[in-house]
Amino acid sequence: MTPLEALQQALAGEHAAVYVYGVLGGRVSASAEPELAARLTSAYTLHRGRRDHLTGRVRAQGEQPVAAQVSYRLPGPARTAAQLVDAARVTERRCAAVYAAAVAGTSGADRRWAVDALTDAAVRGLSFGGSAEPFPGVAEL
Amino acid sequence: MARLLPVPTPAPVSRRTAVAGLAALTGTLAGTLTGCTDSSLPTGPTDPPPTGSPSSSASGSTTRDHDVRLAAQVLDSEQAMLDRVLAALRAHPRLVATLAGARAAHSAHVDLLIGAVPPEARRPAPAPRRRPVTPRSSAAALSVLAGREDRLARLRTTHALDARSGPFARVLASMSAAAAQQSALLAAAARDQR
Repeated sequence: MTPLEALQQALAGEHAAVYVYGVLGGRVSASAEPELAARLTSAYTLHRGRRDHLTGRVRAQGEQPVAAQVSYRLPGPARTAAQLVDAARVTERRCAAVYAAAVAGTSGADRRWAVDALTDAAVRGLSFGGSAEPFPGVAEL
Repeated sequence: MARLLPVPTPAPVSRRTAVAGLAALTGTLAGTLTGCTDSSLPTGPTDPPPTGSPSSSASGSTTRDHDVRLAAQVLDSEQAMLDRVLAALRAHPRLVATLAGARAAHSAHVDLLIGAVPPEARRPAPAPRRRPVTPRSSAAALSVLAGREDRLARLRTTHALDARSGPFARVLASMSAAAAQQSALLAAAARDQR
């Protein structure tokens, strides 16, 4: 995997995460679940920032950033508050795997950025009911 | 409809291959560690110049030696962290459930690295190794461990940046994330104790 391919794969993952959090944020009741609504909004904002950063990094290399798909399948029904939390947790787990792969494919500042993103996904996943793991983002260990 | 989050599938690293040596720990790192360099691997900040002097096999062995030395350092700091967790458990047996995650994570890291670092590359144990001191209050003990985990996470990030092999960097970055998770959980547990 070239560094550019690694960035494009991470960008594809962030397009999906932004879509999913956009839907989850639209389904949470801010009055009934204000704390969950705030966490979903925070995650949405973060992933949108990541998507924009990656878009910029790909453009900086003179390449066309991979485009978002029209829609993405949600992880699970994502209707009740508990299901929204489940969907957010699954999304962070998948982001952790995406960023672990990005670490392998990059170096220097891009690798540092990917390590930070992996760490954030691992810790953010805990706030959505995830369990700590010995090797976040590396499923085969 | 598109599938959710296209997750790239890097060449898997298995526990079984891990014990066969560092080359196996990092799976596709084998290319770097068996002496032939893979030009598609990202290069670390201190890599030798890509053209000119070092022959392909020489730079491959330099890369391997570099990452083996790095793995030996990582093993040392993971063992030290595990020792701290075990010392806290001896001092505060009631924290067994709270510390189970940290113990499992660092044990898994040590196990992986012990199998991966060849014995001749291990660093001699610092003599005499001081036994970690654990505060008498359980809240303070958890708080100290949370701080140690945070430092370890940051150290491991610098190791991930230093690794010449991308697959090895991936494992190190994952270890950094694991320490960050433990830091967050232990800090929360310390607050709950107060």
